[in-house]
Amino acid sequence: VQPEGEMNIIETQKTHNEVVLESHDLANDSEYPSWESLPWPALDRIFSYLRTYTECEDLTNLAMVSTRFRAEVKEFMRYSRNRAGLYGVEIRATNGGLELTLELILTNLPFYDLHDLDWDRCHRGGKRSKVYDFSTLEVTLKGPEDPGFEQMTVLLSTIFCSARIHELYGVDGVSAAYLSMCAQLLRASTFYELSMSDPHLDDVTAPSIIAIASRADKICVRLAEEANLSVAPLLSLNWTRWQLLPLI
Amino acid sequence: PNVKLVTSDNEEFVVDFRIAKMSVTVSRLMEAMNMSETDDASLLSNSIPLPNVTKAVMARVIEWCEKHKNDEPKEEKENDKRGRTTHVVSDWDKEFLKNDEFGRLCQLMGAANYLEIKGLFNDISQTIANMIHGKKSDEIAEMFNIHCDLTEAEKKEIRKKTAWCED
Repeated sequence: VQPEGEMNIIETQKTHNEVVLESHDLANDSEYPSWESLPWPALDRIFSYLRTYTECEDLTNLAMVSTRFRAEVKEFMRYSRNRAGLYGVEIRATNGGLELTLELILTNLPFYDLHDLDWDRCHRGGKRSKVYDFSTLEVTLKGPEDPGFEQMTVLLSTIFCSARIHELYGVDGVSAAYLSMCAQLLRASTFYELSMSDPHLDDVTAPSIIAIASRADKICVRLAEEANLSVAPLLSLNWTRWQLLPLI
Repeated sequence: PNVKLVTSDNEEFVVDFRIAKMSVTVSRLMEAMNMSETDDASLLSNSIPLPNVTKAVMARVIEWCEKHKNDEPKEEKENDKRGRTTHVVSDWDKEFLKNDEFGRLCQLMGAANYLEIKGLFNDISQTIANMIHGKKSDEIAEMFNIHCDLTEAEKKEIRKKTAWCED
């Protein structure tokens, strides 16, 4: 019996040593431990927790620490997207009067979780503390598995444009947001399917939107210039095309 | 019943069986070595080698385990509406970790990961996330003792890509 017992121990230690070889060497007290010594599961968990703050500045700051950090951030995002699958975006403009709430839920994009995003944060170089009176608008977009940064920029610029349309041209909030979304979605219509459901949108009928939209092409071009967006896609828009989209 | 754990610097720790079982790694090793709670002889005649953990770190790990040995298994609230993972660090754990500089946290994190002690692992992860949150890149670099090797052009590119999210 005894020799078998000894054999068990030897085999266990061998297995154990293999595990040790695969893990990071943290036993050396003489070296100051650093970020590099953290195992991947630790980084993954730390990034996950950072998301709870909803502060996307953390991403920028982390990425700018060093080449290694930038690579870690990129890898984490790639990994998370692959793990996550679909992402969803929800834009909600409530009729609060004094506050415009635009809620973007980029479900599986770490750091780009823009819950409670307010106008100040996406309004580059513009006025702060603006008051917008949006009626309730709820839109859900579902995109491909790896939407990438470009798609999100489109969505942010959608908000930018909608608020600017509202501000500059006095179009009511819902129409402005909707109009802007149409413009942006036409750019990206290859990738997205749009579903829309909100009882408050009953009075925003397709003809009224088209009527607004048909007058608005120049507005959008100007807005695009102001927002540093590419003008070319907007110039090529045919506003009636949006009728073909499965919007309502 | 007690279990003997031996660290990389050959320090032997004798811990309660329940504490030893808090580590998935130790638990697996005990199972492989036929060490059972009801078999005192197996516990007395064997010790668990932990060559990735030093004496100092092991003492901290055991201190944490002693405090949490009677805890109910805690489920993390993962994948809320926004796909976030939430973890609340208890007051005791905050106190336990608050004086650890980043280097010590790294060592403790490495041990928690190696020993597979999920609660400790999550506590430290959240603590490090708290340390990172809101800090500028140079502050993070200083905290992690990292020399920034990015060129100004690369930094500019990163800023450009994330300009929309900065004030």
